This record gives sequence, structure tokens and C-alpha cells, in this order.
Amino acid sequence: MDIIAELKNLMLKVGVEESVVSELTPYLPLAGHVMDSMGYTAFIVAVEERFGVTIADDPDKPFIRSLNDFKKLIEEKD
Amino acid sequence: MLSTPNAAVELIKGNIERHPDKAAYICGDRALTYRDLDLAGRRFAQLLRTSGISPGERVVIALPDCFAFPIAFLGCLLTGAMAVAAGSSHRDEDLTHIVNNSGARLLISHADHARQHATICCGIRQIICDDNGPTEDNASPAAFTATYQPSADDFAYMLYSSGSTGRPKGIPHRHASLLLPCDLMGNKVLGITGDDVIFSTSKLSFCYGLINSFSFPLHFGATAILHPGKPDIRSILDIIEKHKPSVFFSVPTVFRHIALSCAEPELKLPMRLCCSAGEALPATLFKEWQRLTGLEIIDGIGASELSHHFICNPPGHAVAGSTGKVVPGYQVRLVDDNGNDVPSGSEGNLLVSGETRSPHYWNLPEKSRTTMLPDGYTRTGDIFLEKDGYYYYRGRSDDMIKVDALWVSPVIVEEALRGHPAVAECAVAAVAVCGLARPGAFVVLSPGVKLTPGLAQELTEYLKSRLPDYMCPARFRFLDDLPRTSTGKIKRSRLREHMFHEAPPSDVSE
Repeated sequence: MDIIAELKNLMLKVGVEESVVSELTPYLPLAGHVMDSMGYTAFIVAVEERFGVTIADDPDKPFIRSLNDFKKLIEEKD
Repeated sequence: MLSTPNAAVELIKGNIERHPDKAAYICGDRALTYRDLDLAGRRFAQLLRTSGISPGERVVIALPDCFAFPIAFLGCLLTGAMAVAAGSSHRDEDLTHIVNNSGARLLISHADHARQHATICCGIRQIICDDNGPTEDNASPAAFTATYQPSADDFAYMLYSSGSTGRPKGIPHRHASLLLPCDLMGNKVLGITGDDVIFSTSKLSFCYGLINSFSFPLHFGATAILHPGKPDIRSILDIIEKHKPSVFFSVPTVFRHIALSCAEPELKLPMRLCCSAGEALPATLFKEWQRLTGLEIIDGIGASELSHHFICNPPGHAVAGSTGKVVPGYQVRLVDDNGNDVPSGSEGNLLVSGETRSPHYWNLPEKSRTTMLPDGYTRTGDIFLEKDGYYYYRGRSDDMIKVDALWVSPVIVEEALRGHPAVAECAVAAVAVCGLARPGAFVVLSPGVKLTPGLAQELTEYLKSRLPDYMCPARFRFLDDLPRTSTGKIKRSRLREHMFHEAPPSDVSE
């Protein structure tokens, strides 16, 4: 499965414009650049429910900012 | 009757003597000096007088955070009129309720919203303002001479806060509630001085924003930045870059979004103090912010019923995950459900007492009786734990949800959700997303309706067309039945526990 492509698909579902998603690099922080606070929350919930992962409030884990961060988290779960 | 200082006079007079040409406020590229603020405030007071407004009568200020807001607020204080700080973000039905419930005689509207306000609040007289003050203002500041001398019991202003029934409730305050937090919090805890430039993303219509952007700057002779628009991250970072605030007041959602938006390993900011309130600050966010910026986030908690903070972390000694210590001048108790004090290290219901306490809600005697207790303590509805003098938030004792520092009543969301034909029954309770509370919806489908992959999205779109974004559920769960008590009442506490503690079940949601 192409995780980045699937994540981009989820971004479209939570309302990010297709032109923005298609131009997105995997390293760019999503918050503030692509999504507002509410959009980012919706995206996190969509990722959690699609991949069965938890974006936890864990002080020992780094912040999940970019598509690559999400991909790494999903791969670690598998 | 004992008299008390008029807060407007106390806050403005020293500035006129010391630095009349200093900027009191900055908004966009414009500045409002203390001299001009004083003159405009007195002109507004004269306008209220000539409009027939008497001391004690309510004046609803439905303005965004622009120069006109503090000008109108000062004008109300000077004449003894009770300023109802409503702001410009209320839903139409809530503004109508505020005007009717407060018994207001006058509505102050921005020109951008004046026609809409006239439609929804028909019959009330309006003063229309642009960003700088009234659009038609022939009053002379010299004509206003007799500043109102309040008694200690006179109300100066009123805030409206969302109630558990969904209707905002009025919380009246006296002049002292504007002045005391300057010494108790501004001076003794935060050490604000006249050299500070203050930026609060929380608006003037909230207790936190009102003290941050009205009382603190004027009391200390500092400068405050006003931002009339929505507090989106781009605008906030632009303002920080341009005006270089030294004290930044915001909420966890904004701190988190700024931290998440940062692609670099470090974030250089001009602030000496970053303060958070409105909802509990996750320890993760405290540490990430410190790693990125080298700055602590000074978390604290206040309430509209108490005017401002009563618990706050001491700068330099902030503890991650803690809301801080009791602010000097306040008394705090943690009690069990029978009103007995709990020992240190145990959870209890938070009660607070202090001189800035509102004595009662506006026209809500029963709610006042259960919240503002006869022994001088106010029941906050929050559950806390105390250890080594630091207080730790543990949740709510009622069903209210704090989202981006705004109260959400489950009742409103449930009412809207029940309007969708696929929904037979529903309940809304707090769920956690990245450590911050969001509304979560539990839905029982109507007979014959099949659970499809797109249903949650359809319900989200349905609610977004009816409610502000922050009220819309972040998660949906579809159940066969809702958990109920023996008397048939929905057990939201069980729903909360269910959603907070479960692993995300991809097989249940859709």
C-alpha cells in the first residue's frame, strides 16, 4: 500500500483542495501550511480510524507534523 | 453605601499624566494613543448620556476587537452604564438572547454587522461604529464632566458564557473585578510592566481576553495589540513578527498549531512570557514548546465567574501538566461530593473564593444558588488534584466541553444532530484528540438506515451547515443503544470513558 497516497486521499476527504494536496511534499508541516486547527484535528481522527493508530499525547514521542511523520508512525504500528 | 473607584478613571488617569502620546493599542498599521483613547472614551460617554442611558442600564457591545471596543467599554464605565461585552462571534440566536436576557437598552454594532443586528434584535436602539468608534459622533469630550461614582455593589460589566442548557448565562461584575487582577495576577504572578507589548488571541468579550487586553495594558501603561479577525495561525505569526509582543496570551490549540507548523528545529520568538488558559495544557505541548522556543508556557485557569485566573504557574517554575499554584488573594478548596475537603493527592471538586467573584448569575436564581455558595465560594465544575502546592486538572463534573477555550453544551449539538433523518437518538460527550478535548457523537440510527462508509462525513457536513466548526463532533460512534441510568437519563460519563480510553476501533466508526 502506498501510505502517502492514502494519506493524501484522506486529506481530500477532510476538505483540503486537490490542487494543494497534489503539490504537497512529504516533509512539509501540515498544520498552518495546509490545514487550520479544525482541519488538522479532522485529519488526525481520519488517520487514526483508517489505520488503527493513536496519535497520542505522549511527552516521550515527537510531534507528528508531516506526511512522512504520519507514514513512519503507521509503519511502526505494522 | 460605600463607594468604590470607577475602574475607567483608575485605569486611564495615570497614563494621561505620564505618557499621553504612548500607544495604548495597536490594530493593523494603526495606533491609538492614551490621549486619544481618553478623549474617545469620554466622547462615547457623552454619546451614551445624550442617548438617555442611565447608570445601571445595560449596553451590549457587539463589536470585534478593534479600537471601538475599548472606547465603548470605557464610555460605559464612565457613565455607570453596565457594559455587556458580547463581542462579534456569537450566533444570531445567542446575540438575540443576550440582548433580551440582559434587558439592554442599547446595542453597539460594527457597521459590517449593523443591518444583521437590526434584523435579529429588532426594536433596540443601535449605535453603529467603525473600527475607530461611532460613525456619527458629534459629542464633545469636554461636554462629559460628571464621571459616575459607583458604589461598591454597582455592577460595571457583564460577560455571557455558554450554559449547560445551551443558552448563554450572564455573569455580572463590579468595578473591582477589572482592577484587582492587575495586582494579583499581572503584577504578583506575571510581573507585567509598562514596557510590555501585550497580545492576547482571546478576544475582549471573554474574561481572559478582557483582563489581558483591557485591564493589564491600561493599568501598567503598556501597549496592547488588537486583532479583529479570527485567530488563525498565519495572522497570529504575522502579528508576532510585525509587532514583537513581549507577553503573549493564548490557548493550547493555538500553541499546538504554531508548534506543529514549525518545520525548523528551533522557533525564535520575541516574547518573554507565553501564557495559556481556556483548557488544560497537555504536558507534551509544554515540553515541545520549550524545546522549540526555549520558553515555558505559563498555564493557568480562571473563570468568567471569578473575572480572571485564580490558579497559575509561577514563571520560571512552571510544571508540565500542572495548572499551577493558587494566585495570591484567592482561596481554593477541593471537596468531595458531600462538601468535605479531600486530602492532598486526591481528586476533588474545585471551589474558589476571592474578591473578584461575581455574586450571582443574571436572572438565574436557581443556578446562582447551586454555583455561588453562601460561604463565599464558587463551584467551578472542574475536578482537580493538588500535590506539593501545584494543581492538576482531572476533568469536569458536568457535561460541558471546553473546545479551543470555548464552552460547548452537548445539548445544542444533540439538538442539531437529531434533525438529520438518519439519527434516531444521539448523545454528545468529550473525547480526546492529541490530548485536547473535542465533542464526540454517539448515534443510534433510525430504523431501516444502514451504516455506510460515508455516513459520518454526511453528518459532519450537516452539522457544519448549522453549527460553528468548534461545536461539530470530531468523532462519531454508532451504537445499538445509548447507556442510560435507571431513570432513563443518558450516562454521558460512561460515553466519555468509552471514547477516551478505547483504542481507535476502525470497525466501529463506519
